[in-house]
Amino acid sequence: MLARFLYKSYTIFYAVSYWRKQHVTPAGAMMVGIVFLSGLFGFNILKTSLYQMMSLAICFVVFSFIASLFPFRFQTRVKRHLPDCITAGNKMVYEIQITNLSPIVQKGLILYENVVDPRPSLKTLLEQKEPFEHRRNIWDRKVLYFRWVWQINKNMNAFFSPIALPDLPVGETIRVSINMTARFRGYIHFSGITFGRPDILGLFNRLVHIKLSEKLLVLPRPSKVEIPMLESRRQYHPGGIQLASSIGNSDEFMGLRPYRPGDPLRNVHWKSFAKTNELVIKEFEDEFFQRQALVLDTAATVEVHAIFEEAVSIASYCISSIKTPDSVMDLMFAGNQAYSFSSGRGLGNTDKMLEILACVEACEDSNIRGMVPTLQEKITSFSSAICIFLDWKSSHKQIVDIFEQAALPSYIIVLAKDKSKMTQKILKDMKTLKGIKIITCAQFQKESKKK
Amino acid sequence: MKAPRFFLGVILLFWGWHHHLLFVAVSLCLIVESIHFLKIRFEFRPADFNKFIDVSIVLLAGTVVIALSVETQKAMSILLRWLPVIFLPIIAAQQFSTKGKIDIRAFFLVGRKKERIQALDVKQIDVSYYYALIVLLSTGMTHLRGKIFYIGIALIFLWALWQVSPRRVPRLVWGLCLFGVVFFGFLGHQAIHRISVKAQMWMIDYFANYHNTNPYKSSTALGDIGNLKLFDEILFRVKKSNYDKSETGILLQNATYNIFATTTWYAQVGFEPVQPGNEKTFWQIQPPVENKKEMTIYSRLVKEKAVLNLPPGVISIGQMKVGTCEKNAMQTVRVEEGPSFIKSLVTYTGNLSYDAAPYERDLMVPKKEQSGIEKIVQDLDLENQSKKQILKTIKSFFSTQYAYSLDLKGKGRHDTPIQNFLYNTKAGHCEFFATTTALTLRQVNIPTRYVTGFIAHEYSRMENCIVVRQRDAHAWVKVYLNGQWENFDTTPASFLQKDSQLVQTSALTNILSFIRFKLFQLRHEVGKKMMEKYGFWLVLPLAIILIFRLKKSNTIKKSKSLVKKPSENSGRSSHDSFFLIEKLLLKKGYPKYSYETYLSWYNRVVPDFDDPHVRDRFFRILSQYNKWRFSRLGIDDIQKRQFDLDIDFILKKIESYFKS
Repeated sequence: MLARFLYKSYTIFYAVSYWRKQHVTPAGAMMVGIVFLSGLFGFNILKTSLYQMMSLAICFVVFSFIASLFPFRFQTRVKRHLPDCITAGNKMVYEIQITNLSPIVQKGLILYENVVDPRPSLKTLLEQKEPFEHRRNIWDRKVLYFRWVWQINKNMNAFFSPIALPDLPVGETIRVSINMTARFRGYIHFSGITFGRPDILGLFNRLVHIKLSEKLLVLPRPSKVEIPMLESRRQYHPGGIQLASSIGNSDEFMGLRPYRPGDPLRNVHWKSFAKTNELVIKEFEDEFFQRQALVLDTAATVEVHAIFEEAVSIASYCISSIKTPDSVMDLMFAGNQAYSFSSGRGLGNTDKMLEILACVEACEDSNIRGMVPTLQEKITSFSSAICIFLDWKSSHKQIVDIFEQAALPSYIIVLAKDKSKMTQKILKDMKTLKGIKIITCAQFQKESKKK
Repeated sequence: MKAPRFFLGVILLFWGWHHHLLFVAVSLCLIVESIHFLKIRFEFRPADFNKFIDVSIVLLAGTVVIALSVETQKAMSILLRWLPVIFLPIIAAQQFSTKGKIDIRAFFLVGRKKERIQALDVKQIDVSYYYALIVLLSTGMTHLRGKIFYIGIALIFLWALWQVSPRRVPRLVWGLCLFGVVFFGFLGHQAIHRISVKAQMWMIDYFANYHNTNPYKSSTALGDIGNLKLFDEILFRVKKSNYDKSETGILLQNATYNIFATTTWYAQVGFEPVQPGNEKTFWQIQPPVENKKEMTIYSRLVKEKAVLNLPPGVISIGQMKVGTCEKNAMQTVRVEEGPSFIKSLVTYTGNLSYDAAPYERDLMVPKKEQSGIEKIVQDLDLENQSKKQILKTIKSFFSTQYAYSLDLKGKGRHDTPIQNFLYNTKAGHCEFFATTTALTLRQVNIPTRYVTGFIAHEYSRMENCIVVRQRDAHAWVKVYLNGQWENFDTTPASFLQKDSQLVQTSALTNILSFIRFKLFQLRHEVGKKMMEKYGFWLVLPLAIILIFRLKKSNTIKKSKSLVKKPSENSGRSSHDSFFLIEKLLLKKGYPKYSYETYLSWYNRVVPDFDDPHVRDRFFRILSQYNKWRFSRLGIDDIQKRQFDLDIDFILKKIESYFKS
């Protein structure tokens, strides 16, 4: 009952606020403020003269509002020049091309970018919690205001300031630049463009809406993490590129080296073995390309939402740091089911992978254990693996064991609120922390500093 | 939006003029507007703005403390009056900053800590119009008769709106619209004034019935049925030197009425203001006399106003901190704009020599009451007695044949409650005795007036003063005898005893009331003196906080002069003068878009100009501009001079072209 009432109130308040932002100019807002303040403080007209100011301000507001009701004709052709994708948190500029098709010069227009209505549904408002909401006081948690604001911001993803357009001569085309910064990964859904024209006093705008639906992909912000070179046992052996259909195996002999566990016996240099009585392996020219598995843990509760975002950022960095075009990377994560996407040599580009990453959501009900069958099925095709875990449980240990059993070099990144606690937790299951990096989430670090 | 040049200065002068603080206003004006003459600018970081905002907050807090301590009832008015000074640090910081704007986060304590969103949410605002609004609100807090304020406000509004007026609207049309709006605003404010005055009068009347004595009307309980409820709440305290505890009681008049209708007494006299003496605490009600008595009354005000309970023949009231004081011809005194607790040092003569001579209506008896009153007059044979005898007869008549009672019996089978009292119940409370006495005496041509007030009779040892409770409310009559008004009370003397028996006082209530009184006294008497003596020490902690906050202000960097010194070579100085053409053409509807080069812009613009000289000169300017700006060699002095001449030529040509 209370939640429904609050939801209705916020919805109405947002609608009024949105109307005000487009219909009322800053001067108009100031004038309305004068009406209220002079009415408030000038209530006793026998002692103050503020009622005179209020009367004048009311007349300005009423006249201006009535004047703004008269429509204006504006025929135009509008085109938005958007980039393919942008990165969350980075400032970007795009352009809008406007052609004046009306028979008069248009002066003093204001352009407003419109995005699809960002108001969440009641169900979403109740279910989708704000990150760090558990740290808010009970009042804030009950009134849901901050959650509402967060959801609005998330759905809008970026704020657009109104742009004062230069004069639009008849038939002329101009381009205006829009500056914006996307806050979250995902999409920005543009719904249209609104042109506002101030009334004769410049207090209220008359609007003309133009539909122009488009969407812009916002990639996650990459977080730089030092990842060591993961040397595969299969490097310098022939047949490394078996998955690449267009290129054959290499038989170009390069040299000899001592045997290491995992080396195929067929490459043993028997003559040297006979001489030295130690296993020596033939090395061939490396035509091997890496096929890395990137395992992303998505089982995140609201409390660790920031950690999940950090994990996505790290995953984004891993994908975008693929330099050799011959490498392949398999992004794997588990939601309601296990998902696996490959990119690299002949299998699609990294942009597609980043797009998937931009849209991946945390799933409270999921378990990384669901990925085990897929991993076991594909394990033979991988040369190394990078795992990004949000926690350390038996299921995570199981994943690490799979890679160890397959003698695949792996690098485990575990994100944690508290590094020392997580270290202790991991050391209960593992002998050493070799190949495991524990990262404290940047946001949590800041929070702990504040404490 | 930035306020236009001198806008803030003019508003500040307007403020100073209205508040008689012209000297202060000129100083503020000089500070705010000096940016147009001084080249000093400071590179304020967001943290530096925090300090200026802190200064304003401390000033605000200090003003609130001082205003509440010195004049509680006018605290809001004092605060609003000084707002332009309080917020001066913020506007001055903005004016002298290199950015000319303030980071919005500086205004919020939470925002100051949000470094995380620094890259995303930084919003700079210009506070000049907000400051202008504050100054205007402060200006409006004065009440001035006449049209000066309205005219001033209208001109200021026009000035501000001129800045945002759309360029597409012809100036004449804009001006006519504005004139119409200002005219309707004028009519509107006059209408508001009229309506508000009526509404306020109605409200005063309405609330007066519930919270205060209405000096124009007194509703009695005559005619009611039930029981008159009395309470033991202490309403005020009286301190009198040489108080004789054996005295029966001091009559303290609240209000006097002279017209009776049905069950209500009315007063048909107007009030006139009493001019205050020094510091608005001394009020001379009557001309000074020699033999006068003194009495101190501590009373409470409800909704900042009250009708005072005063002894007869008040000469003056001292130490009373109120905004206005008024009196009427029947010596009713009312005050307004006072704190919730006031002290009044009253000097008085003890006789009613200052009450106005009788009017005709002081002899009026309502027709409905005449039959009943006439019968009493006949029964007592009053018409054949002298005036003094009449008073004696009536006094003894009521004291022997009538009893004091708080029971309310209505009018019974009689026409009026008075007749029911006279012939049936023969018992009633003071209102019955006073009203019947007044009407009976009027019937025999003795002018009378009905008085409400209190009888102060209860001496409190604990408080060392006379306490007057709600149950001590009383009504009596003023009688005009031998050219002099006299108090005449016919209520049986036993009424005080009966009331005391009926309404027992509680020791706990008395103690609580005493504590409350002492707290009031501490705040309004001692507190004020303390504030005057030690106010500086009270504000000192705030000042220390302020100094602490400003400790690091020396890290603010002074910026180098923003204005470039003109070069020695030529008059106009640099290739920047080329932008004059760009600016002018922008105004005329030929903007240069960000994606255009100057050459493509030139190619787009020049076909509209028929004059080949313009085209050639424009092209020459463009070439020279590029050469001057980008070439390593630049251009020589002769070429620079030619460049300036060409620009002047083009500017004139463009202007004349568009005029034609």
